[in-house]
Amino acid sequence: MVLTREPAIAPARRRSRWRPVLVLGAVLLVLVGLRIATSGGTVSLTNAVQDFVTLSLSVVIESLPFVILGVLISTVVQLWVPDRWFFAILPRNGVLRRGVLSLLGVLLPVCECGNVPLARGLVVRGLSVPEAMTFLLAAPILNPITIVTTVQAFGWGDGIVVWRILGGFLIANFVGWLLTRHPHPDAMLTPDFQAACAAHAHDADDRTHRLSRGARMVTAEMSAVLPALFVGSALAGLIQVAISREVLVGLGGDPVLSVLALMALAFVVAMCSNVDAFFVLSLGSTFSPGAIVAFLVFGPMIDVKMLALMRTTFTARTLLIVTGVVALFVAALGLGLNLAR
Amino acid sequence: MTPWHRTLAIVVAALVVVVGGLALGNAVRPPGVVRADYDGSALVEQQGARVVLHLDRAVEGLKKADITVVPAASFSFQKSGAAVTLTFPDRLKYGVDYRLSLRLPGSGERTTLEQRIRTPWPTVRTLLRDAPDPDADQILSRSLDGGATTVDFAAPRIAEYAELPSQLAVTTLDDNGAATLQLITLPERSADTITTPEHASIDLLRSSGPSGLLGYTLTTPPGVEPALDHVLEFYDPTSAAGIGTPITGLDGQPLSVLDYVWVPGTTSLVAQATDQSLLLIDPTRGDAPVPLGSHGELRGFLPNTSTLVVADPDGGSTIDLTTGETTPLAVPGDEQPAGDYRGEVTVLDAEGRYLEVVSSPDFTRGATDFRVVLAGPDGARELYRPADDGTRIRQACLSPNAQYLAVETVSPEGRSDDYPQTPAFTAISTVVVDVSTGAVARGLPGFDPSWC
Repeated sequence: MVLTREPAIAPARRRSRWRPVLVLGAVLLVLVGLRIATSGGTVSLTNAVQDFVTLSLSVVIESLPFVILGVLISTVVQLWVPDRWFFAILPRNGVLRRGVLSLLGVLLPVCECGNVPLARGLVVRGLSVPEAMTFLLAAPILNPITIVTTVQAFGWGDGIVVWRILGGFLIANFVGWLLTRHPHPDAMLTPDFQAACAAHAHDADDRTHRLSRGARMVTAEMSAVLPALFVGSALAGLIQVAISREVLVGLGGDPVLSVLALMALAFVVAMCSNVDAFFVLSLGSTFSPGAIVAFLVFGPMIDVKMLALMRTTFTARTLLIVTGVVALFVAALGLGLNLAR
Repeated sequence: MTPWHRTLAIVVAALVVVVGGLALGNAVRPPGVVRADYDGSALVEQQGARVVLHLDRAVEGLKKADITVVPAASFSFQKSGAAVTLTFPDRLKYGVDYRLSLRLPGSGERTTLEQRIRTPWPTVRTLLRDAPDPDADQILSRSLDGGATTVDFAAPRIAEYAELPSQLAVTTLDDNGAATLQLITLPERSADTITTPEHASIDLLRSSGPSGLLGYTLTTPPGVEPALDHVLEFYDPTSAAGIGTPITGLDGQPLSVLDYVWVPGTTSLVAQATDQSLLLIDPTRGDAPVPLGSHGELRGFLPNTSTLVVADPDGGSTIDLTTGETTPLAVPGDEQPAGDYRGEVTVLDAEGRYLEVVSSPDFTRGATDFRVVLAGPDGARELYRPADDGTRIRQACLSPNAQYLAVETVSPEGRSDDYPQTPAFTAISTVVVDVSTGAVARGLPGFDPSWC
């Protein structure tokens, strides 16, 4: 069975696909201008601009392979995985279905940014918005690479690994359940993406020229996702330059502020879940385990780069709700762990 | 309000209440220790080892007087955010549960945090030449708290060994008495040979300990080139160069030495040249040697200090290597009978406490009784006497933290093993004695304990 969508709940606004590219170009122009302005004819940048470029590029370089991989997997899932394979393994009961989807990261261990194109492909194939959101939030944590690196960094001793896994699963499924209460879940998708879903439903029976269709889909996905990645990475770099990391780290001694500080840091540094455990390990001597867990759970779910990527698919209002609920849930988890010690 | 909005509002409100409650709970809860980071081996082997207590929040106004360590040990402390670091200038005792208590200034009342740390027992190595296999000498290791004895390395005719952080340096002799120097990586027991001149004998094989350098002297027989006479070399096992580097004296030439000793916890050594002049040298650096005057004998370092003890015919003195200052060492009398012979002396502290091997010849029996005497400002007392009459004490060495004394004893039936280098005896064993009580903590087969 193919779950086809209604053509569009809201009329799709035709936005130029070149708009993000133009934004990126403008950012680059500003950078070049700053570089020229601060170099005095030689090739040197002020420290802040250098930091911005380095930090932004590091996020892009770190994420790009996963995004490409996610786009390719998404295309394969959309074109070559038969419905009877994909949907047959999913339970019909909503809770169980979301539970299984939140474990899909075990099979697809890509970084959270790679999950966005894959989630888009799954929605096109008929997954509901709550189910896609459950997958998006859970998969970056509940995948073998993330679990192994977290175990390598922290071991099993102080419960950080267990609470990361458990917290990721519970919060993703809770948010998924919450979104099922929405009367029109498809309204949480952007008009552009609703249109794309409708177009796919129209072409679903066309099994000819899959390679050329696949190439077109990869191109379309790339042009949708990559600009968002670049903008998100630039924002991550900008915020890290603007907000001193030392200020956040300085809050490590407080059991309440330390949780909020590391959540803020996770949001800002926009680090892939596969490596974030080693990053935060260096803060282990300063921050409480509750704050560390908050970093490790919140970062893979919500960060500035992920929000930019998810914005290609979900409305701003939806992302605001999801961000708020996830942040509150993670804060409760971190504070609870601190209190229990 | 639609059902969706109502559900959303309830969920958000519930989460806000939970987060607020937990935040309040955390804010009013007294501080606690999240964990303690320390290296137990470093605490008993190195000066300046640290214990870092990670609290779950920063604590203001903490003073040294608020911190106690039981059993008592000197320490300094630093506070950085929520981490409190205790630095122990002296090595801690082996196999002891230390209780660290922090009295924290609170709102009106004081909260005490406690953390227990346990220091490990040491492993002592010995060299066994009358091993069950007559064709293989053995280097044995055994923990002081018991357990099985482990054979770390076995080879025919082992002359000397020295402990490096993860390796053993071993010199072995062939049938002609020529020496080979090898590094044995533990626990794999893989061997790498350090190249030395053909026919050269290797003596005074000593490790710098945790800093990981190896020192030894090379001597070639007369008429063999290059002509070497106790020339001091060092080897850095991390370099994998496979060949040692000569240590040079004030004239820039390879230094011939009577003796040398590594400065604990550093890569420096004090060498006694053949003219009895002492030089402080860091062979890893190109700095010129620092002259320390001329003295008759090196007696090692005062435990837990960088103060060198030297002996001259007119008495002993100490040299503080941090300042270069030489101070006469006034040691009280040992109150032993006038006819007894004073042997090896090990100074325990600057107050003049020392250990001394004393022998009493009994001409009627035709035997000599040996004992170890602990002397100091409070008087002298016998610390250890071998159980069997006629058992000799060959040498005695302190553990790095001065808690135990390893005493080599040779039974009356012991005979020379006729090794051309570092000869010893058959029927030789080592007993480990608690310096504070005199109780024998452990007996070990073999000799040359790793503390010597």
